[in-house]
Amino acid sequence: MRETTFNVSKQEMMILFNALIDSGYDKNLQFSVPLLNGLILFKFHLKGSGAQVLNFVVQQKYLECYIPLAKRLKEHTKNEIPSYNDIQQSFYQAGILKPSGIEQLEDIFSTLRNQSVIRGGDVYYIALDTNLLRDRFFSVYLKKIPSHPNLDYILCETVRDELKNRRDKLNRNFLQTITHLKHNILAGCFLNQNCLEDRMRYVGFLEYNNMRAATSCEEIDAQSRKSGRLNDEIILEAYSSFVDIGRKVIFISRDNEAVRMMTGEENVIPILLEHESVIQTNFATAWDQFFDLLYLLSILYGKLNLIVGGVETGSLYGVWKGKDVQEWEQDRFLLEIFRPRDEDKDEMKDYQFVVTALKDNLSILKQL
Amino acid sequence: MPKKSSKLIWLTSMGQNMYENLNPYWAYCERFKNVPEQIALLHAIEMNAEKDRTVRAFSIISGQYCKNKQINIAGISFDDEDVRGFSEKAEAVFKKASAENMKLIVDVSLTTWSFVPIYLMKMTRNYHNIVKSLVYFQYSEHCLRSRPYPLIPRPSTTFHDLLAESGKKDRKEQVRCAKQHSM
Repeated sequence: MRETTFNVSKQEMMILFNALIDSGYDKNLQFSVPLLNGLILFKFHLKGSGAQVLNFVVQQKYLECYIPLAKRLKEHTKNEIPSYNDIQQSFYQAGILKPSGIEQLEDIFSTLRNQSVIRGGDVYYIALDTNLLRDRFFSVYLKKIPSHPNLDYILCETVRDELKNRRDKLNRNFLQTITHLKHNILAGCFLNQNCLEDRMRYVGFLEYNNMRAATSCEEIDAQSRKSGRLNDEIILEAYSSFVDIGRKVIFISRDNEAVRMMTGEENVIPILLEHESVIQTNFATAWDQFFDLLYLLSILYGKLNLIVGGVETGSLYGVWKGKDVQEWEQDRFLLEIFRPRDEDKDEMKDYQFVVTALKDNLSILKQL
Repeated sequence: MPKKSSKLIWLTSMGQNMYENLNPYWAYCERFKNVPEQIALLHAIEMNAEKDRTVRAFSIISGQYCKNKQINIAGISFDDEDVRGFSEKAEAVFKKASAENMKLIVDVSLTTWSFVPIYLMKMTRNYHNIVKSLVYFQYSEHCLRSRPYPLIPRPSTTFHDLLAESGKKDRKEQVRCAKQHSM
């Protein structure tokens, strides 16, 4: 590992941003994407409560960069370049945007809170469809709901099996088909790591495990098949069979078809959540949301470049050659700070300050 | 007048969690790239286990910012229902500093029994010539007190030196009064 490379958790990213604030660089910071020929994703200011994101790239500008790139790539390689929809999804995964339809869920929770526990009452079990686990709906929303004795969770093993599916790892031959980026940059990020589709599925898999660890949820044994349609049927059947006297299931999905099939099932409350097609370009995020967003974007693109005062100052890797299971499970980044030229004295001073802050604080945190 | 001395004692008392103790010290070390020669940690008798953990953590932070300096970290136990006993033990630290020609940095940021900061403030006044700083580390939200210093957003904390601040205010007040008299 190079002298200026740090392995950090999402929360430890705060050390970098604190050092930038201390150095007077709290405004007009940017992140660019090497995979998209340096496209600027967004600009941001650092504040006490979080980050103020400005000028997030709009769809049209994104497509102006994406389409010519995609045209040059082979069909199977094209899938490795994230689409604008992938970015939109990361906003929901980070909890920056809430899906529409959530009001219905809030009404149910409100009714539940008014229910007298002493008199018993129905127990509501929340069942998430695979797409909601991929959206990290438990971490960004359900986990924050005050607990109630009559509210619990269930998970279906078929969902977990679906999230465990793997298509392919990215090997050297495959990476050589992506020609617009230097091979060493691509290999440094993606060699022997999962393809984009699998990486995003893995986000859902980790969410399943998080939900299981954080709640007393029941796990329904169920088989899984190779066909997605058959799996959907198994999942729906498992959830609808779980209901009983005094036991209701709140089934939440983003799939219209799944919700339609669950409608009318006795003691099942199906709720459809939907993503908006347009995202805001200027918005405020809490720190945790900002770190989640950075992590998800860096999983999508492998690497983001941090631009400070118009100068590329560092790189943030969400995927790198050799990132191991523990590092994936702990949502870790690799943070590289670029060393300026020795003759740039002011830049060198700031660089030394940031690097020292990272070294000192990470070393102490590790020992505590 | 005491002889000029650069040797320092960091005086603090156990808070509700370890980071309440560490954070002001951590911020001080990072800011001044320096560590004191001694740390005196006042703690209730029954907080022995937390005290050991906190002493170890103080030692880790000190070692990071000053690798070659030997730091003496002393735990001083007191009975939390004996105000007079606390006062005597705290005063002993001030007397020791005075006798050894050392300066004190007194941290009153902790969530603790109300008599603790009252007595520390009282002694700071009585021994003002050996107290270098009276530190209050302010958080924008109470919950941040349990988070390690480097993981707290910088704008959410303020490192106050209450002595320096009150000195400034006093001087401002004197200037304001002088102006009023001259009008």
